[in-house]
Amino acid sequence: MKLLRLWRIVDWRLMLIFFLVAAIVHLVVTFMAVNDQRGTAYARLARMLPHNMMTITDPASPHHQLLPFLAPDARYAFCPFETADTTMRVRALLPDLGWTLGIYAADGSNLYFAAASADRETSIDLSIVPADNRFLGLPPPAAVQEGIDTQQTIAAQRGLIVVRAPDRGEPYRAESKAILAKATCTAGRI
Amino acid sequence: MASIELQTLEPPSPMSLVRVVILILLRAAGLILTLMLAVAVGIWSSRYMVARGSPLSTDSYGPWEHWRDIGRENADPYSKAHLATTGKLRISADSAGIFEARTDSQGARLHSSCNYVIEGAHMPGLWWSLAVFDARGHLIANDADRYAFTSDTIAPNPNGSFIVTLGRDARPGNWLPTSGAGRLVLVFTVLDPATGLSDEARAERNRMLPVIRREGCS
Repeated sequence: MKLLRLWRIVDWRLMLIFFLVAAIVHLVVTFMAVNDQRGTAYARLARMLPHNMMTITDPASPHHQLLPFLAPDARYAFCPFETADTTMRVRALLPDLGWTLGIYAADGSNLYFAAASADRETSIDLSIVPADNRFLGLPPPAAVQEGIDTQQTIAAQRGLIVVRAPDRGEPYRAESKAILAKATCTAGRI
Repeated sequence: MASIELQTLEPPSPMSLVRVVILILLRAAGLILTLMLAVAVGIWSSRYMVARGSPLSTDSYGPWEHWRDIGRENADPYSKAHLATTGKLRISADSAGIFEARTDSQGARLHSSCNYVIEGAHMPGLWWSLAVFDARGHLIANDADRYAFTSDTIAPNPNGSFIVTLGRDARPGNWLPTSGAGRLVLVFTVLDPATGLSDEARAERNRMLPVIRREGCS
């Protein structure tokens, strides 16, 4: 009986309007958040760091934290890149477990990721080309360089290259920083 | 001859006019209230699902939340919006498992006024880290400059498992200071090996996530 009374009291047209409007607003707000790129990691770092150049940042601390929730377990080298009028060449050495290299699109999605293995060093040599069909000249003849484990070409307009050296404690920090300093991202034709 | 009887149209009484106007106003108010409520619910539900996730975008393993598709190019809109609004830089779910905990294993909010013991299993061949942040993702200032432990820096138990304590006061062993931070967020990151992880190995990894036990609050 109570259910029947409730059934009669409820204005089903208003209920339908409520759910429809709530669903539409929910979708609009979500897609607006997806497309609002002002607060992404790329947007934040691109404002602070030089473009097309690898920069080793200071160790994360409460007074020097570049991004929220950025793990303080590693030392980072960042390179915000833009391939509007150039291509990028990325080289890095990942000597031990925990070392990684990631290439992120401006929206934060991973375009490329490499992690070092425990038993051997990994050398990375990547080219980033514009994500359109522009002709950039003929590439040099393909040749696998000695000691290079990964040679790959990635298409991206702009984004972030991140090399991450895990913090293994004070005795290893200078060595890690020296290896991190060898990571490069340079602009130029492939 | 048929005759048509015309009825004289009586003007409505002032009372019935007032009643009709009140009824229209009530309906309009109901509609406006419904629309306002629907807009509020739509905005709130979107923000909540983008900030905290939902079964549509996250998996839960005890207190640990894992964004299923984060960092993938074909991620769902909630995962993409999560990265766009929070400014997080996350390794793709294809290459690492990144787990966030805002509660202990009993479901109570993590808070700096409490002490916690985090017990984790041995993860052979996997590099991992455990970091603590305040609710806004900031590191917690402390004299020891200690914000995280990794599989390289932790002092493990003889069998490879580990125990980390969270609390305001210094403790022997693997202690992470949380003084004055308010609500806490723990982030546990496990990198996949260079050769990748099978679905079975990934499921096994997710079963081995640390347990967060509250010891007491002050």
